Amino acid sequence: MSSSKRSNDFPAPREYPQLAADLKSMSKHQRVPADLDQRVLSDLEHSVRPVVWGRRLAAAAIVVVAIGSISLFMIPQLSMRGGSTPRLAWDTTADGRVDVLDAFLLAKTIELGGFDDFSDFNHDGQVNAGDLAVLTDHIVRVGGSQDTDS
Amino acid sequence: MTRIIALGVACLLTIGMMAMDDDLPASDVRFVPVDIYVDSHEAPLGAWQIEFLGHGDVELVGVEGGEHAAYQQPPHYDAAALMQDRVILAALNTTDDLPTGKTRVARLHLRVTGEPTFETMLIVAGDAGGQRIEATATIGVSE
Repeated sequence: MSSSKRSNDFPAPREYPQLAADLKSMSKHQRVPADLDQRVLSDLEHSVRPVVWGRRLAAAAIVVVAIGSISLFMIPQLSMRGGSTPRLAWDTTADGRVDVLDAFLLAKTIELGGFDDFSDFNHDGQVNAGDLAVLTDHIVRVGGSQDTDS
Repeated sequence: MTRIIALGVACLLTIGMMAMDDDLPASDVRFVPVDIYVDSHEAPLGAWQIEFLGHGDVELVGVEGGEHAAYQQPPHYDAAALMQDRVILAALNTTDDLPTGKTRVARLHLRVTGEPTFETMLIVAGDAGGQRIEATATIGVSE
């Protein structure tokens, strides 16, 4: 790449014939230094770089969105497997099912005089035979749930 | 006119006889006790829950307890299941006197017509500590 070659391609301005002649004569004797060429190339690269960065940013955005989507999908499933699973209503054993074993545990709790706010099914502030009756009624209800009801 | 009246009476008699024919199977209605057994093998049976299904013209009219002292009281069931052919039964006992092996845990009284079939499925069984155990549920029909 040479500026002398390029300057020869330009037509000389008619208004400044002397200047054009001087420039032509200068370009014949002076060559453009190599470091100037490098600087020009470097400036050119910088002018192109925003496009490259734009693509990289777009790719990064896609990756971030993908990771976010996967996380949103997976986190609820992971939490279901973990111990932080929301407890089903009626599920005193916290095993994910509602069956007679929940009633058994409640009966044992009542026998031992324990109190579990979760098991106050009739909302009378106590855990007693009344709550056990409510739970067993729910368990045997036809069309009720064994593991999914709330 | 007399002929028309006679024809009408004949039609009514025919329809009435056809209706009586439809009611004839009512004489086939009978009451059948069905025993429910749970086999907990070596483990003491602390709790059990089963589902019973009748296929055909079946109505549940009564529920009795089982043979062992721990389950002599009728099990819990949905009273709304009476007059239906499907019922969930459950019982528990927190004492130490519990049956092991195969034991009759309940007896159902059914009103049936024709030749219905019955089916039972164990939902869950637990031991003396309320822990889930392997068990089987079966039925026995005694006419």
